[in-house]
Amino acid sequence: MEMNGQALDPVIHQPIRLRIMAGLCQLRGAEQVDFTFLKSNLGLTDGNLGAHLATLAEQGYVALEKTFVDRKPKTFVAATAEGRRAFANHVAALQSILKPS
Amino acid sequence: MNEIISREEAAEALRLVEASRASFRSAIRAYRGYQHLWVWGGVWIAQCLYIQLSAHPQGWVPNALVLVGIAGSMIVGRHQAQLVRKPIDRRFLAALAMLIGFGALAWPWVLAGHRPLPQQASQMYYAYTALVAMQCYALTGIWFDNYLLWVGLLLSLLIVVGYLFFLPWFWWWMALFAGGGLVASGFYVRSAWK
Repeated sequence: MEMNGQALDPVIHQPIRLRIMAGLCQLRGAEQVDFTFLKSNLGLTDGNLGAHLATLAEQGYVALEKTFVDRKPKTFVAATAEGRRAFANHVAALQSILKPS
Repeated sequence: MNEIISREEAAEALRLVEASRASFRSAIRAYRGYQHLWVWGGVWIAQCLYIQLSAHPQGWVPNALVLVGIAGSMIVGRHQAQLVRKPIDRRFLAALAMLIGFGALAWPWVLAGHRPLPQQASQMYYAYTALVAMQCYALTGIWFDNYLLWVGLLLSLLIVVGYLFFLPWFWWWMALFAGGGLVASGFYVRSAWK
């Protein structure tokens, strides 16, 4: 066991949220992804994904936009600029742990 | 979070990140994109077979098939927009418009329009139009960093080979290798990037 040099982000470090952020950070610019797609891509239930997204949204890491498409409710999700920064820092912190000391 | 985690935990977390990135990127790129390839592959097959087999190949049917393709693409695009919403990329549209504008107007009407057409004019024009379409695919592939670059390049090559070396069988060739190539590419994309 060793101490990491850079700070890990406790919100992002949770494995499901780590996967969510990794996926959302693949989107470019102002792209948003549908909640249902995210759910099936990650293999999660509605409730599970919703809870993790709420945690990330509280932190300002993701933005949720509820709208209607063909009169059906839809939720689109995107990583915020702050979320992208936090995720990049978290990954850098993980990588720093693996560097030979 | 200044807590201690092991190198193994860090490595596992990074593996998770990479796996998630790869899976997400693949799914986004491939989501229903193969359906565009099926639509236009089907249109090309139908056009070429019609021209080869019909007594009146210059009629309205080939153009009507293009409209069917556009309608099909719009339906697929509408479904795609339900997954990923993004603002219209005006620079990409401008680049595409320049390419199509040159392809559809400058060469056939301005540069070649006043010259006597060779005997194989219909094959030449079809091959040329198909090549312009494939350059649009390649441009899209370069712009958005996806498989359409390779589809565009491979099919361009097949079209040129068909026109230069298999002209007597041109329409059969185009149906099989250009239209069929698009359909086969769609199946490949569907299976490889699912």
